[in-house]
This record gives sequence, structure tokens and C-alpha cells, in this order.
Amino acid sequence: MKTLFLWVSIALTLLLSSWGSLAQTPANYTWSVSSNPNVSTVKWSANQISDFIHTITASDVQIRVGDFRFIDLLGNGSLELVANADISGRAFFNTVVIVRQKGSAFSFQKLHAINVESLSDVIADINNDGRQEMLVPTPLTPYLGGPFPQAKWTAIYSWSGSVYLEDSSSFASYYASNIVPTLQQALDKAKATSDPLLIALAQVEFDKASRLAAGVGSTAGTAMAQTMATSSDPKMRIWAASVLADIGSPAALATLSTLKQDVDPEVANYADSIQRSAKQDQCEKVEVKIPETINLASRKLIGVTVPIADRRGAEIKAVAVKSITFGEAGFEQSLVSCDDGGQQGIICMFRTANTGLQVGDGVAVFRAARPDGTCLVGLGAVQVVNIP
Amino acid sequence: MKQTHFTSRAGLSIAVGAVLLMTLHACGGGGTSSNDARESVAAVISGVQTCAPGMSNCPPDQSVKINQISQFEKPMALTSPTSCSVVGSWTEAFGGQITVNPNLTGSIKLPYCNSAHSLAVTLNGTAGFSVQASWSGGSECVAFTENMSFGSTCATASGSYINQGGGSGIDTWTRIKPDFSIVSPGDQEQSSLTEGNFTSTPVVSYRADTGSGNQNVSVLWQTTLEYKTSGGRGATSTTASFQTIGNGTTDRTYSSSGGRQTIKASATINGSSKSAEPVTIYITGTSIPNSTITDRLVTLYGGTTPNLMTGIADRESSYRHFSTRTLYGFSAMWPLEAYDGGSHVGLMMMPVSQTSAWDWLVNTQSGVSLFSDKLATALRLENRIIAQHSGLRALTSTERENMALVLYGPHASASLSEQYYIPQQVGNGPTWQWVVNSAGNAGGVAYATSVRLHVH
Repeated sequence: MKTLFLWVSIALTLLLSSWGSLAQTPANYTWSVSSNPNVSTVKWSANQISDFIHTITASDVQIRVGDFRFIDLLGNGSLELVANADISGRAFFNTVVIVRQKGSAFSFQKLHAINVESLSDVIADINNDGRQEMLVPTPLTPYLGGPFPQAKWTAIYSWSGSVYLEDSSSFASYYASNIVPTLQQALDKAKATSDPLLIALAQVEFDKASRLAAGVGSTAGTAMAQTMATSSDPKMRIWAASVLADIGSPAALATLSTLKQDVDPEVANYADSIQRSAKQDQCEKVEVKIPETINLASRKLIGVTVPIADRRGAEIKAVAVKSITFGEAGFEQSLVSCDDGGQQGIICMFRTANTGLQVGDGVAVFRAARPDGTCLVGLGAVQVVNIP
Repeated sequence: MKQTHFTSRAGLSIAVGAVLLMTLHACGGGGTSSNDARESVAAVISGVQTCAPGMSNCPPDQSVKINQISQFEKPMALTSPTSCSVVGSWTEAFGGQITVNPNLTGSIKLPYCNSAHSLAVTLNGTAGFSVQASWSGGSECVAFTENMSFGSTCATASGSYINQGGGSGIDTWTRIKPDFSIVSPGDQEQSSLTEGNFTSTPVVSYRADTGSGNQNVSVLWQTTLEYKTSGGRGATSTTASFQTIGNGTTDRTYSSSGGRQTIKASATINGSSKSAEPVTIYITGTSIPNSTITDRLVTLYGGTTPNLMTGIADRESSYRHFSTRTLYGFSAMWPLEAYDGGSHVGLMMMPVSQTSAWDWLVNTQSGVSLFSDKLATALRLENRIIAQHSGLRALTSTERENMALVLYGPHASASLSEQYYIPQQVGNGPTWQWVVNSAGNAGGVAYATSVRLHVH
């Protein structure tokens, strides 16, 4: 009898231990650096982090994590989780995810990337202000099949006070001193091979970094892109479209227009989509005020204020109301009404159900177009919950 | 071959001529070619060749012998074997002892040189090789080069030598037959996945030569098949052991795998432990007919757009599972790799693994299965979006395929607002319709459109 009791006790202990380890999740630990233990002192597996993200987002889509870090990004004693994520199921780690804890809930921001297999070069405080920037490899040319190279560039995201925003144009000197020289070496090495594809790849990447180093308005690479636009190789013409859209000068856009009419329907398809993407990236950034917490269960409307106290002043008000969209990506037709809030700016109300916001979302996006075709974009931090 | 010490150049030349005659007699299988060779040797002897490979201070008039060398080389057009290996131990016509390592370096110790020359061998296709013999010893010898062609049985090679600083002539190598060697497969051979719907090799036969009188000797074989992409990804290594008796053969086939195989054999012969010179072969891919690929993909999918998977395969890999490249220094049909050194492989560009790399049936099945999962995911997302937008209709099955294509591709997103379709209000009213999400996920929409453009 005693022996039986002993064996049952051992079995129960083992069962409860395994149950405990299975249930272990970052949500069960403090995210404060000063506590010991805290979430960063635990040894986590990528699967556990995947499960954690899946839980906090209640996503319909399987999210697989490859590499991750618990790190105090902002130097404020609170840990964030940074992870690379694959949504495709084919190990395309094309998303960098930042998870922050707010009270008992978590918010989630994603940055579009390309093939981030390791975070080792992604997180760095490059301006020594005590806050980490995110150096995110970002596609410059589209995916044209696995064996064909895809040009990329390093987008720099910095902390805006509430979210990470793409802020590459503020780091011209960093591009000039840290990125351009490396790409120059890569270009020299490519030229030594006499391989035209390798040379084109290195040149496209070098020119992009050069444009960032030179500052807004740089048109470096235009001539090469215009030459590529006449290539007999449709893939080169697609690359040309990418570079021309990124340059965005009148001359570049004129050549891009010809590619949108290319005899190869695939070139025309990509040229059109590339131009659309580039246009979105070139929208003027504005500040927006969004409620900190959005409870999907109870808040039917979301009020967003675009402050007038912005250097653009009245021009912000001159948006086409019908163009205003707001939501998880910013393209959601969720507008109910917009009013002139006087000194406060524009106050718009959006229907929560139509915003595409889901539990765990940490960023909401406001977009609007002006009658002259230019556009505005504003990102605001939120915490989306679903608490009945 | 017995070494001969030469005390005079005349004696050297006569001995060389005799050796050449004997060598040619040994290797000349047919009447015409060996007679021609003998006649050419006679021409050489009559020219009083007084030089040897690596010999310093060759008489300056030896350079004219190059014409006779050309005459000599022509008759040696014995049937060239399709593939011989230069690796191994040899003797050469002037008494030199040669060792060529698998990495094509080696040495030659000539009897008239106080130390050995270092060799660097370059293969000239499969029928011959060039030798660069470098010298760092005394003035009695110099560096030289040789340009050789294999004999019909691979047991000999012959050609010309040129010494640094002057002097040239003809040379013949004769392979030293080891006591114990691997006879089959031959070094640097390849066996391709041409059987079993392009997933298996034909039979690869393993046979050793244990020498006469040793027919009951147990030969222990160990093979190691290794593969990794050009970027070192997906590394696998499989070791197998088996046994043969005497000169017996064992046959193997390889399925859903490939790479470089190193073959070792060992045996105890007459009480002495022997190891054969290792042999390297390559298990490689092959070209798979487009029609075979299409039939497979259409059969696997069976969805609304029956040939949709052909569009994915064509977009992802240009309809290739294997492509010609050089891995392990061997040019062959290897698994098609993603540009980044092979993170993804094959027709559907699946994450690298041994089976996804070497078995196109597995690769295509994995891709189609994943796409089927994406169809299910697309439906869940669709239902969630519909629940939030009054009056929004269900997607058609073709439209749901477009959603799945985005989820399969590199712009896959978990966001409701970054799918192929997004809801848009109809006029100012409360009802909704689906529109293509060119703004929210331009890359994903472009990928899906591109796949459809590539459908066979």
C-alpha cells in the first residue's frame, strides 16, 4: 500500500511538473528589469514564444517565431519582446514583431522586413540616446522566385514616444558612415566578378543607401534604373520599376509610367503595385491622438484627433473627407464622421468593427489624401482588448 | 618498376627508349596503334633523347624534339576511356615514383633528384590531365610540366614533359596496382535519380579487388553520403556499412537522397589489415519533364483552378527541381536553391531538408499541402471580416484561392487588412463589397497576380 502510494505520488508530481512547464508563458512573469526572476531570466523556446504571440493576438493565422529577444528597448526598466515571425509557413521571416506589456495586457507592433533569420544586427542604439533603434532589412525589389536575388535596404525605426516609426531619413550620417562604405565594398567585389546580375544587385543596394546618406531629394541611381528599364530581361525591368518608384523624381516617375504599360503583363503588374506601395511610403507623417485602450467588446466608435498644432496647420484640414481611412493598416473604410475641432484639429469618429483591429494590436493607422493627390499618414499607439 | 641509376646521358636515353618500348608494348592492345607507337619511339631513340622530366641542364637542342613529341602523341590515340582517375600511386618511365592525392596534389620522386617534386594536377576533362611539378631542391633538378592522356584501361597515361629552362620529351606513367582496391564504383562517378519517377538511382554496384587467391576475404564497406547547400544549409550525413566477400558485388540504390558519397573499404588479407584508397561518387538529380511536373501538381491539387499549383511552381522555381551548379567541386544537377545559399529548395521553394531537396514528390506534396492549409486560413479570415461588415458576401472559391496565394507567398500577413481582398463600402450605404487590396498589401496582390500569370 505504501509502495503504491509512493508511486502514485511520484507519477502525480511528474504530471504536474510537465503540466506546469507546458503552461509556462511569458505572460506569467514580470516584464520589469529590476525584478528577479523576470521574463528575460527564463530560458524560452521559439515554440513557446510563438504560442505566446498566438495567444495574445488570438490570431486566425499560425505565426512562427525563429529568433527572439527580451530586451529593455527604451532604457526605462520595462522589457519588450522582439521576435522575427514567419506567417507564410515557409520560413519567410518577413516580419519583425515588438511586444510590449501594458498592465495585464500586451500590445503588438509589426514591422515589414525581408528574411530576418537572426535579430543579431537588428537591435542597436545607433545614436546613443539610450533607446534602441530597429535596423530592419527591408525589400527594395519584389520577390521573383527563390533563385532570383532580391535587393534590400536597411530601414531604421526609432521610438516616437509611443510607437516605432520608420525614420531612416533622420539618420543620413549613419548611412554615410556605416552602411554606404560596406555596400561600396560589396559593389567593388561584384564588379570584379563581371557577373551582370551581381553587379546590378550591388549597385541597386548601394544607390539606395547613397540616397539615404545624401538626404531627401537625392536621385542617385536614376541613370542606371532608366537603363535597366530598357533591358530585354523582364526581371531587370521590374527592378528598374522598384528603383524608379523609390527615387520618385519626376524623371524617374516618367520612366516608371512606361513600365506600367510594358508589353510583358508581369512587368506592368509589378510596376503598378510598386508605384502604389511607394506612394504610401511617401505620405507625409502626422501626429494622431487615439484612445490608449480600445475594448472591442464595448467601444463601438473610436475617436481620432489629428492635431492642428502641427507645422502644416490649415493644410491638414484640407483633406478629402471621403479619403479618410483608419484601422489596423490604415486602409479600412471605417469612417463615420469628421468634424472640424477648431484648435484641437480634425476629430473623426470611426466604427470599431470596421477597423480591422484585433486583440493585441498595438498600433492603429490614420490615412487621408489631399485634393492635390498627396497623402497623410499617422500612427498611434493603442492597446486593443476584448473584455466583455 | 625497377629503378635505374643513370651515369651518363647516353645511357639514360637508351634506357629511356627501352622503357618506353616496353611500356608501349604493355599498353598497346591492338596491332595498329602499338606498332605506330613503337615506330614513334624508334624516331625518338634515333633522335638520342638525353633528357628526362625535371632534369636540369638538358641539352639545348632537345627543344626540337617537340616535333617528334607531336608525332609520338598522335599514335597514342588509343580508345580514350570515358573516365579515369589520376588519384593513386604510379611509376613513370624515368623511374619516378608518383603519388597523387584525392585533392590532386602529390609528389614525384625522381631517381636523379635528391628530393621529391611537389605536384599540382589539373584534370583536362575526363581523358587526361596536366601536371605542374614544382621544385625547391638543388640545382640537379628543375621544375617541369607534363600534359598526359590516359590509356584505354586507365592503367597508364602518357604524354609530354617540358622542363623549366629547356628540355622536353615524352613520359609514361604506369599505375601501381594496390593489393586491395575498390573496383566499383569508380572515383568521381555519378549516379542520378532517374528511376522511381525521378526519386531513385539505378543500381550502384560495390566491388573490391582483393587480389588472386583471396576470394573468401571479408570486405567491410563504409559509405558516407553527405549533402548541404551552397550556403551550408540543410546539412545531412548518412553513414552505412555493409559487407562483400572477395571480389563479390553488392548493389545499392538511393532514394530521396543525394550528395557526395565517400566510400571506404577494408579487409584483412594474408593476416594484414588493408584499407583501399577511398573513392568518391556523387548522387545527383536529373531533369524532370515539364509534363511530369504538371501532371503531378494538377493531380495533387484538385482545386477550383486545377492548374494553380503550376503557377506557384513556375513563379517560385521556373519549373525546376534540380539545376546545374557546382557543389563539392563537381558540376551536376543539384537541388535548385534559393539565392541566399539555399534556405529554400526545389520546385515549390520549400524550406531546405533532405527530402524536400532530393525528392520532388515530397517537395510538391509539401507545397500543395501548405497551400491547402492556406485555403482553410483564408476562409477563417474571410469569415471574421464578413462578421464585421454587414451584407458582405462570401468569397467565391477562386477569390479564396487568391487569398491563399497571398498567405503562401512572402507577403503573408495575419492582419485582416493585409489580405488579398479588403471590404469597401458600396456608395455611401451600409453594405459592403470586396475589392482587391492593392493599397494594403500591394506586394501580396502582385505575387498572387504573378502566380496566375505563370499558370501552365
